[in-house]
Amino acid sequence: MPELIDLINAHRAAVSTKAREETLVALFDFLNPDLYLFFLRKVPDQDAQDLRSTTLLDIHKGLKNFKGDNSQVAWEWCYTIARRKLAAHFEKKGTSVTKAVDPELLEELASASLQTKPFENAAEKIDVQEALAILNKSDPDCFEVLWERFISGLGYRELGSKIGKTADAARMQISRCIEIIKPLLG
Amino acid sequence: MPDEQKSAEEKLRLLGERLRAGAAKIRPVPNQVIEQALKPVQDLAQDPTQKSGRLKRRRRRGPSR
Repeated sequence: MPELIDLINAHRAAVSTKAREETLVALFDFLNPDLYLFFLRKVPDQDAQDLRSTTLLDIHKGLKNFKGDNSQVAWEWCYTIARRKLAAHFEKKGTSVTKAVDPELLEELASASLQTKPFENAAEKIDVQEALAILNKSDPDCFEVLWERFISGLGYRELGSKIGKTADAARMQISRCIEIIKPLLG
Repeated sequence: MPDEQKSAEEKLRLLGERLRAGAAKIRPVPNQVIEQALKPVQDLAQDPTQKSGRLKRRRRRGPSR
């Protein structure tokens, strides 16, 4: 798995048109799923795709001024651009209402992954279906923390600062959400 | 942490990986986004006579004395 900073440096170092194109495609393909899922948590599918695309273009434009030297800083910088895009989108639409992610779309995305990565065994298929059920049966608050923690991959500290809690409180909220949902899974 | 809960966390993490792989497959970056990002570079490559703004301004003003 490549590191974001390596892809950025490779693109910056590329001189020929062909090399610039190849490194750009690699960089955009790497950023694409995370950015798309980041937006999908907040806006409908089509808007998420559009915001993903315009964010990629802004990231590319801003690369010449990017001073970071590691992947963590690079990801934070990319998400800063993504959050600004999202804020501008909500301002334009005159709303900041967060839409729940369509369960059918989640299922479609999970199924599409089978084209490149088939289930290793029957148990893995059941695990993914159960995880989908956990998300789909969660209330909006639980959906948010579970998504940010496990789909976006935020650490407890980052998650806590995002929802205005300590890392420990965020961890406890995750535990509570899973406890609440367990009896509903049958 | 109870075993069952850890298992639920693992399942959600697994789903995250699946959703990313699925997004890469059915929501790829459109070609026109790649083309748009590469456009200024390609334009310069196709037109090597294109000068920077500073040179153009200098030309308009004429040579410095």
